[in-house]
Amino acid sequence: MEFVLQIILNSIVLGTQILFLAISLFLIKAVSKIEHVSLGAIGVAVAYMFYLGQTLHVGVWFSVLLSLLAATLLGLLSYFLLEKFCKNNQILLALLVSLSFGIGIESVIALVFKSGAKNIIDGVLPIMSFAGITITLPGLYTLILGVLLVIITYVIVKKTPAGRILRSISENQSLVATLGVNQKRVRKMVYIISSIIAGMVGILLAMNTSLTPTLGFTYIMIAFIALFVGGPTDIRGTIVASYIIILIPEFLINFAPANMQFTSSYRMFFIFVIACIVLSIKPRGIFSKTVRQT
Amino acid sequence: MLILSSCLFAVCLFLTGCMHTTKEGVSNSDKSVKIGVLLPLSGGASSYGEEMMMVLKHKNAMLKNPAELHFEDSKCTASDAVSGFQKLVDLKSVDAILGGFCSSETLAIEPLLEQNNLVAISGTSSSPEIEGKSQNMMTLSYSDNVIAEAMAKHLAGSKNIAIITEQNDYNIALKNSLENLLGDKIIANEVFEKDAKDMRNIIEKVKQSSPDVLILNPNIGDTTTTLITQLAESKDYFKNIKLVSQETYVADSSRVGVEDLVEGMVLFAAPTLSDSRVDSFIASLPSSVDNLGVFYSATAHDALENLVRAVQDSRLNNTLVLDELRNGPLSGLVVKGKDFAGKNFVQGIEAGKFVVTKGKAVSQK
Repeated sequence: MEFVLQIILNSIVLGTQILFLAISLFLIKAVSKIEHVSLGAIGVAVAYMFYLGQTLHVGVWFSVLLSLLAATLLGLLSYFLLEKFCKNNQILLALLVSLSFGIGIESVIALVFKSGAKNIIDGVLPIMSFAGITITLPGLYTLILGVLLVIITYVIVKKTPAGRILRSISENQSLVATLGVNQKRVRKMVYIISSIIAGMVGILLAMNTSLTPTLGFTYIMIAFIALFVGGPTDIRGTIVASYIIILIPEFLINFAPANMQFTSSYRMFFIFVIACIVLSIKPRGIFSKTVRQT
Repeated sequence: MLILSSCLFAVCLFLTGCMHTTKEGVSNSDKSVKIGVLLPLSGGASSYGEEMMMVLKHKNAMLKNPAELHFEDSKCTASDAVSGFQKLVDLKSVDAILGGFCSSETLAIEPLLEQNNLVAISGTSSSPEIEGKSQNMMTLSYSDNVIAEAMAKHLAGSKNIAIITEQNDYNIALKNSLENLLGDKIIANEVFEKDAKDMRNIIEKVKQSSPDVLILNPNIGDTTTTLITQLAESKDYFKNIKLVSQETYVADSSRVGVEDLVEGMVLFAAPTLSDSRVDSFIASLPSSVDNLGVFYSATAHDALENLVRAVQDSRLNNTLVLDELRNGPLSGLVVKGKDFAGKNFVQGIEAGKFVVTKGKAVSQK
């Protein structure tokens, strides 16, 4: 039983890391219809800024400030890069530009910091134990912040005027424009907030494992799949799908009969199979909703 | 007049031909040998690649006729090795290849060697899959089968054995050899993705199988430290389990912060070299080779020495580089007097055994 619970807990931590990025993708998709896949690289760049602060021994708070500054700058840069594509509704081109931007960020990181792994916390991570189940301290922080992020995002998107503006932009940009909403300002804010969320998960990931320039790529790919599996128009879909696409493969790898010989190297294969099955049955995702095209 | 002109023209043509031949003959034997080197200069194995680059540059400077060394970053991946190989052949027109570094690189470039009429010597690749491939491909390392056999011999009295392997040509080849040798004794056999970051679920699965012995089989680079550090999160469990591994944990830097866990860990890797020439070469290096180690620094030395000599000899004697390497005894620090005996691996190198004692990998005679 302990084994089962341990696997579930580890998978939930991993799912929460995906959730952070999926929510960032969701927010940007909602206001600009763009899949901003360079968020993975942005998260890693922010984590490197935190690492830089730590290695310069400037204190945790200054490192956080440095990271926030990097996230804000990269968020603004993303906005200026992608805004014209959003205006012209050139979504595919925007995806390409975003991907190039991400690769560019990774290359700069590799040039500045070299490609070897860096550790924000050196040595063995501190562990919390409860009834035979263990979790690393950064893993615990990930869970707590993940729960807070879900609650805050859900409440903002569903229950506040700001959320109503967000949803209305995602559903009908032309109509919102006639109501005098400054969409550019909203988008700018969303890009910055998404970059900060991606930066948070970058730091948490780096704390829980190690930091490399390409760390964000696999995670953003999984988050991208989660966004579409859940349905990019409903925040609930993003939340649920982030956990589904992690938990199902982990269950298959760890609890399938031994003669099937599923190992961790099958994880991405299972994730893509899940995406294929779900999207072939529900092309708009699990929480699909018909959106009026403008 | 016409006959005279024709004769003069013919004499001119003859003389021009002679001059051209003489010039080409001289320039061909005199021009420096171009060696293309494939090394991981970025990515997880870059520290090994950088050290090997330093060793090769140092050895090259010691040669009577230094070669032109052209380095390409192969990143320890098949695709990068192939693109690096193409650059070396197409843009630099190299005479021979030193590499690949990782077995995946070596296996990837192997089909291209005969097409391009080139030979390659690796100083480090050890996957048994290299054996039986093109004769143009040679390695001065021992085969992983040698390591697997030494491990199996060491574990002859053990039952319940678990293996954690990285999905990578070198590691998979070693795992396959171990499967053949250990058979039913293996109760858990986990493979994780190349460059994986979170191995905690794999570790839990291994714990669930209650092994007596755990063989750690990650590739060199970042996953080595990630795996051992995450294993140390369950230190209380694993301190009662015999840990066995290969080359990747010989470097002291791969075990920093987990000294309690790895105390007594048994490692099967490159043999220790006790030769004054090796000691003097290592001492002459401008910086240390903590990651690459003495054995592979020496095989890098030997690979370069033999390749350059074979290319120069082939020019002087108008023979094939391949024949020079295949037929004559080799020279160098490790492979002096040894040969390939028709195989892809140099013959006569045995595995070394080390035990981690007080944070150091101590060689066992």
